[in-house]
Amino acid sequence: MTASHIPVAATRPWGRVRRGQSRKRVFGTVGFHLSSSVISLLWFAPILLVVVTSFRSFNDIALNGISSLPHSFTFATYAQAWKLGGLAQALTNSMIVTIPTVLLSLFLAAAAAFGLSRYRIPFRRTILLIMLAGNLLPVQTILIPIARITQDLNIFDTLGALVAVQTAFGLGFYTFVLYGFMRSIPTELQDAASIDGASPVRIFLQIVLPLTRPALSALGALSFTWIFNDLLWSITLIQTSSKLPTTAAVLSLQGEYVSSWSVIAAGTVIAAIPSAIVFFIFQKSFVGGLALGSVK
Amino acid sequence: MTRKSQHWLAVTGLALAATVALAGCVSTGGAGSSAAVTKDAAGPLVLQSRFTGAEKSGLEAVIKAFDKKGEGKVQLNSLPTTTFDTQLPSYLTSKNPPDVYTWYAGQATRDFADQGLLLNLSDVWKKSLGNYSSALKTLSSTSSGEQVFVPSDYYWWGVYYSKSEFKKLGITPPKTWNDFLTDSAKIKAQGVTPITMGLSDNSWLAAAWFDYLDLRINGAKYHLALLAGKHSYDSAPVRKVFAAMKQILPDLSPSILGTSYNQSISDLSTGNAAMYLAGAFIETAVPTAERKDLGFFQFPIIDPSVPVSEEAPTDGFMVSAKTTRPTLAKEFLEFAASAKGQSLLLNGEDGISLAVNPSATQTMDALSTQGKNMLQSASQVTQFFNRDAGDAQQTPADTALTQFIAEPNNLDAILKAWQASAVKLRAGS
Repeated sequence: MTASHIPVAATRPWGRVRRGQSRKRVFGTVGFHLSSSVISLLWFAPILLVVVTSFRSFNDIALNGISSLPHSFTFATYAQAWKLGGLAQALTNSMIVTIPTVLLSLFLAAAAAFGLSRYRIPFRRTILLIMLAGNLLPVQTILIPIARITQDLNIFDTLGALVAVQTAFGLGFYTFVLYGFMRSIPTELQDAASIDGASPVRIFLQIVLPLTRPALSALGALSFTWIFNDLLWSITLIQTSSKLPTTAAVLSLQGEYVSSWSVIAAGTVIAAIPSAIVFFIFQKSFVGGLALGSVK
Repeated sequence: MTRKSQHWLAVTGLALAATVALAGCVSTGGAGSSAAVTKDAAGPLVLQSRFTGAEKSGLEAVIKAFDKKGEGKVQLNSLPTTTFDTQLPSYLTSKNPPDVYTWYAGQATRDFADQGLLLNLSDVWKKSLGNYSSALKTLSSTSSGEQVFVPSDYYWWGVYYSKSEFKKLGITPPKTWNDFLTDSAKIKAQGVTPITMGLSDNSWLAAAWFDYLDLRINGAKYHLALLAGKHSYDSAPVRKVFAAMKQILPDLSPSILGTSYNQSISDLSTGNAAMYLAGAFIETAVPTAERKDLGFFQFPIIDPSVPVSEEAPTDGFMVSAKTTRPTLAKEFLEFAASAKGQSLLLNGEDGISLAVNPSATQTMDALSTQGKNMLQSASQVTQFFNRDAGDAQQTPADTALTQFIAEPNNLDAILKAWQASAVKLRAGS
């Protein structure tokens, strides 16, 4: 936007005929940039507050309050958060849960979407809607039943239970998105492959899956952040503290009576890093992915 | 019948069959676990604790010493307090629950015992806790007289202030309610907020005022009966408590309901606020340099004819009824309650709680000595609102008290609503 608007307004002389129009345009541009700067600043303010707080000492916050200007600068909070929260173990746990879940759920969802979108399976719309309906159910209503089921299956308090539950929960939405995307892939490609003797599995793996890559990477980035940032399932299904993922570990930095806000902030910053890295790597497809399924 | 509906029937039938089959699997999976326990199962004793971060160091020291004894190992699970408190009922009712839990003494524990979820610890008391006070024993017992709780430590409540600020303001710690009100007025006249609380994120702190005013006006006996549901909140004695509470409302900052705990601590440390009714835990929340300057006084006496009682919230351990390691659990609790275990636990607690075992050695500072003496001279001790009334009763109390601070003239409706939700919660539990 900057590239197209500002140079035009700046280089064009203030002609008598076009004055009204270009002034309007300048106002529009200035207004746009001003208001979006304010909005992005508002959006960024809480993050900035957390980062600033994470470098303040306990005494500074206890004496001046959390909303005051910082009077101290320390890295000790990060060391403390890392050690007290057991973040090394927690980050490992998070990765053990998140990476297999993302791969597994995307693969299963892609396979389901392939079948539903490329073959005339009876009731495919119904199947898709039922899968999606599962996602519309508030998670809170099924927390206890699922906890009981995992107990009875003897997988309660294991990271495997988290992988299973997260995969099951992601499937509906991912399938829905991939279904829309795969439908837009021309059928001629598939027909040509079939004529050349490719089996459905081969068509799926070698033709459709590579073409679905933009959608897969967008969903991958999205699901990574969802699963990595989940707290509810992990504290419901895990009761051993050494198995807790990052979000729960950060929560445990909060004491019963006394909490050091700077240490909690430092833990939060550490916990945000993996999601941020994934987001920046997949940023392009992430933004592109927002438009997925909007055009049919 | 059309083809389509035939299809539908087939699909529905299949789905039903699958559901039934799955449900069958699940229930048969659950049935085999209820065999009677004769010998301890293998593996470490699982201790589920709500103390994290710096608060867990005392417990860790106890466990380390117990592990060294070679009777068995203990696996400590430190969960965030908020998670622990909400998950505790699920832990206790789960198929393979953790063995030992840290918890609050009093009704909060009895609620679980009444549901048959706790192991009878009477033999631990008989064997090793003979020198514990009878008040502690009563506190750890159910209505049928069996002990289900082993206390570990307790702490005191007082009106905290900064000694140097009091000197500057020309105030000496008041002893009676009238002195307290006069002093508050004097403090206010000098532009300092007399009383602060961190109500925006810790609304339960207001319940300390309710507890203490009720203890001072109506006495501990009435207070405990009220919290146990034997009296109504919508009654004349409770109105007297609120009338006293109304007297301090002008002494609170107008933004008290939006003041965070952190802000309230900072106000007390910087001298923006003068007094804070709080538990001993507040001592570790103030900046380290301010801690030496901190003092507290006993909650002022309102009616001299009412026996003086104090709040002394007691923490300790309870054991799941479904534990597969009852022998090891009891051995661990006996060790934790012994003089040695108590000394290890308390010296890791930074001087803000007191040992329950009279023969434990504990390093005491001036404030903990003052707290201990205050509690020892009390005619009776109570726990705290949620511990005496049951943890679930705290929410309606918080609502009533914060609402009263916001709209003190709406007392009738507030008390009526409080009583109604208290009754509803009791009926549901």
